[in-house]
Amino acid sequence: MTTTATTPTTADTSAAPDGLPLTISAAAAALRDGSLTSVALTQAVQARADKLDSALGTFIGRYNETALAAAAKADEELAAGVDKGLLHGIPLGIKDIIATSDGPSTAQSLVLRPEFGQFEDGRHDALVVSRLRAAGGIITGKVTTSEYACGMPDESKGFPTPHNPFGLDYWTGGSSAGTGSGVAAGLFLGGLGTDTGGSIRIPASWCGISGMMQTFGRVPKSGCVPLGFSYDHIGPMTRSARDAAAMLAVLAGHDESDATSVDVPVPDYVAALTGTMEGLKVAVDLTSLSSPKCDPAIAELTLAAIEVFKQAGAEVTEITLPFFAELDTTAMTGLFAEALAYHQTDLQKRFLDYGRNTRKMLTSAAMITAADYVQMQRVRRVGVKAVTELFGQYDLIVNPTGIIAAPPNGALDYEGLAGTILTSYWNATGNPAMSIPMGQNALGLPAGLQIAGKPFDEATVFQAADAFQLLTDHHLAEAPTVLEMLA
Amino acid sequence: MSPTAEETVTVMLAAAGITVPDDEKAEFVAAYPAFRASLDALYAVPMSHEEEPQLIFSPFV
Repeated sequence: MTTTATTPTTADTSAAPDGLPLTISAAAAALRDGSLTSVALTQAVQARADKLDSALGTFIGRYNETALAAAAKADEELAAGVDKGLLHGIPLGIKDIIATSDGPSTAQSLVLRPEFGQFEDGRHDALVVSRLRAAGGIITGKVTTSEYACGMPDESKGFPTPHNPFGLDYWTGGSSAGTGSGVAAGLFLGGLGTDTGGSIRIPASWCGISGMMQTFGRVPKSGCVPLGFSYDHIGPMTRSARDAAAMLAVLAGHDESDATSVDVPVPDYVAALTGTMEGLKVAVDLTSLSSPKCDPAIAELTLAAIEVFKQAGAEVTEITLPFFAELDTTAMTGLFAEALAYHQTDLQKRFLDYGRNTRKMLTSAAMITAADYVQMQRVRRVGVKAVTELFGQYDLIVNPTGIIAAPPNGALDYEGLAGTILTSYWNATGNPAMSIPMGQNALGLPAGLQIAGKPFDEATVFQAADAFQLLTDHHLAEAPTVLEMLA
Repeated sequence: MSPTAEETVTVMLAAAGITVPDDEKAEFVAAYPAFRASLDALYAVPMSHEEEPQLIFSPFV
């Protein structure tokens, strides 16, 4: 049955049947009213991981002892009145292409050099991980990714295969697979993903959570294995938009360690959540709903979501995004052109150590000429101009994140996904874009709505997403499979 | 006469120095015409002949 309920809810009291807070906001409130400690919360998510991880394939490595030590410290600080903000004492998961001092990174590949993240004086955190720790976040472990943040699940290389909490036979989406499944299953309350062509928004959509790819350059990427240098983002994945706003407030801000980092002020994203869309001009592109590949339930959910936007006060106008196919090409071939520069020497020597889909995607870029690559960048400029003109008329642009829900793990086909995922357009232009849950299809698999904004105006994207979630409860849906395994 | 997809793929892989198994090379050959067409479509996007690329070089590190 398609779920289109619009039940008013508040995120700050949400809890699972076992008492685990569903959101960072709910946990933060409980940590401050004395009903929960960070140690108890961390132990609870670790207990969930003990029960669920073998079925979900979420973790590459768990840091139970260091996480509990950090939680104990957070409890001491909060008790002493030292409050570092909403992430203080909150368990988080880190995609395994982002360096952490607790243990090695693999990028879920046999090829990544073991010295990645390792310096003479020991292992180092990526800048984003340092920022999360400084805000009191608890690092629970490193979580699964598609190999090198591309490719698809590949059981032949000895790494865990990610499974969707809403249906274990289905893919989580990628590449931020473990972050998606881990947040959805309550193995941590928030996490870091990366997004080069949709790798935050796709698993967010298919696992029923919220995922933000902020403006290119907003969050420094130093300490993260690159994929497409001019398309990559590190961003937050959480159940609610409010939680993602709290995480981005910590992650964002210029740092010269990343050449693409942009020095612009970071607003108080949480304070900017007004709970309404009154006064917002929202353009919607429904072109994809007429595709023969579109799941009819997702078409229905998208139209229902647009009605919620109107209910929340938005002024909605239908448009068609310009240069959609061409910008998709510039992202989905351009990112591999950039990736090939990083991988070519390894592909020459260790081709078969890469997973089959990964080496196929990376090597496809060998068929691109230098002129093709520069032409992609010229088309990106044309696209940015066209999108800038649209954003002169509208505050936000909305379309479904994809027109299918998660495909079965046993039938994954990269070419078959072509035209079904609508995320890469915004990697080409660099605008912020977020996926939020909008319901489930006939199989009970989640689907996402994509909201894009003006460059460096994530605040308005969050405002709309939060207002939507105040009128709906899709982001709080618990996977029946998870509840059964916990029972 | 234009080179075939197989000839082009063979040359491009060799230029990159990447050796692939025959079955995987066959996949590249099969996919190449559509792949090339998607790239050729980028040259048909209306733009000034002097349009600049979005990536701009900077002399600063």
